[in-house]
Amino acid sequence: MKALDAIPIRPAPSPAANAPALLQEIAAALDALLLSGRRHCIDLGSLPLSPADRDLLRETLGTGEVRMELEALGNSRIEETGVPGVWWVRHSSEDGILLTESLEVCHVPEIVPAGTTDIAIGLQRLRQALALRESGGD
Amino acid sequence: MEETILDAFQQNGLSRRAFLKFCAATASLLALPPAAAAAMAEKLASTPRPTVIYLSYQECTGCLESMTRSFSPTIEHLMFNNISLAFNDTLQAAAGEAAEAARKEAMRKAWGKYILIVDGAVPLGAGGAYCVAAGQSAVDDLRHAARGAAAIIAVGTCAAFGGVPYAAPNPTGAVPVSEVIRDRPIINVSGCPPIPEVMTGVVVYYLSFGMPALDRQGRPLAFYGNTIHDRCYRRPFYDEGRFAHTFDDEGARNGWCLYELGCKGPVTYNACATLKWNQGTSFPIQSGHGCLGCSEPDFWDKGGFYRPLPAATGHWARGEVLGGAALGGAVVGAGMAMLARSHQKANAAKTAKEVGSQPQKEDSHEH
Repeated sequence: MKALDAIPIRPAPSPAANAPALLQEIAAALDALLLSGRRHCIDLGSLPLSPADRDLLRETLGTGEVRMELEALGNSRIEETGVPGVWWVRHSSEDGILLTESLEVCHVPEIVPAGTTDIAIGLQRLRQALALRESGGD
Repeated sequence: MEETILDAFQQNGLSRRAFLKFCAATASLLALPPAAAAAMAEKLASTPRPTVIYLSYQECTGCLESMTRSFSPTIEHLMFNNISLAFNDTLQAAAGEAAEAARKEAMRKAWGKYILIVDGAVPLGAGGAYCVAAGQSAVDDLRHAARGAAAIIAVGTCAAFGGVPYAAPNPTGAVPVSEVIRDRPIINVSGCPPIPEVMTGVVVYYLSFGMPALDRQGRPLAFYGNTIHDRCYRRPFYDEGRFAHTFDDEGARNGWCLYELGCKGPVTYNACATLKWNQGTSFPIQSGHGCLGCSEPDFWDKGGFYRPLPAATGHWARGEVLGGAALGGAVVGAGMAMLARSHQKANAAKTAKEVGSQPQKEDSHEH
């Protein structure tokens, strides 16, 4: 181990290559959101992003007011950035492996509001619980 | 009534959010726009679970080993929610006559509709005697199974392009699936092995949208639309003309471009640089080794994994390789010298190829 540690490995820092273009795309998407309400999504996994790219994105977008955690098929983190309307979304699997990471430009990501079917199923469960209470059950 | 994919999801107590997340992850994997993820969700929700028959011929089971390590969607997810895997001789519990009977029954029930996954090359030599199971040769088996298939997915470089069995001198007369079957749509999912998520992703794509857009090698453009080089995180070093010249020099330690160490990234179409391997951990170049070009036809016979790219190999027109790989970046100074060298190497390699491997290949096809 000592011998291996002695070999100097110094990965040269790659320059920020794609982040500036991404920031332009986000600005254009925000414009479109204001004008026509059109949502936009940028899949970060399909682009080569160097650590410098990520730093530049994080720095420029900053941290916003909302941070959400979603537990469905594993954990997901949905965070608003310091630029309102720009959301940093990370979906992980049940084993904690990152499945997809994206920047969503919208009022609120589509996955957040409760679905009609889920509401109906939940309501049914609530009614059953209430009926059970009224009939003197637990 | 046939069970749909959404039924399977709901039976497992999964919410709309879970379904949306599954679709988002899969769409991201398939490089689809978000609108397509919604369309995919709708389509998957109403599609009956298709029967999948998985046949193995001249192969090492590396592709199946890879596929069972898919994390998005997992093979379990595919098998329990999206498809009905009716036959796979390695994964199924049944063996011998019981397995063969189950397979015949599944094929009869879904005749004309099932998806056929083929893993491995098909030997034509000695009347197909080099690969026989249950008294039937691979070539006869494939011809029969293909007649009832809606589509065929050729998994791995062996099934797609012949791969290692096809390599010179090809003693068994191995051929890819596309040389045996010509009247069915074939999707080639090449790689030795292919990236697990690419295999499962192609199956899910086919279920959602039917045949994907293919390149001229029959591979889905979603995964094989870019070269490794185009998406490589070391590409900026290539553009700056900074290369490793040996595996232990300054350049290698600094993580510079591996072009001069034989990296086949510039002529290899695959998704390794973005999807990566082992659950997104790394890929060969990130681990300090050049790309072997395993998802391209004849990768085994291209003159050496460590020889810097000769300009013209296989189906690549020479201008295309030089144009895409060398001239594409900002090549100045050292880059131009390298270009001149690769011209020489191209000629040398071309001569070597003409003298060496060609006649052997022709022999092997006479069986």
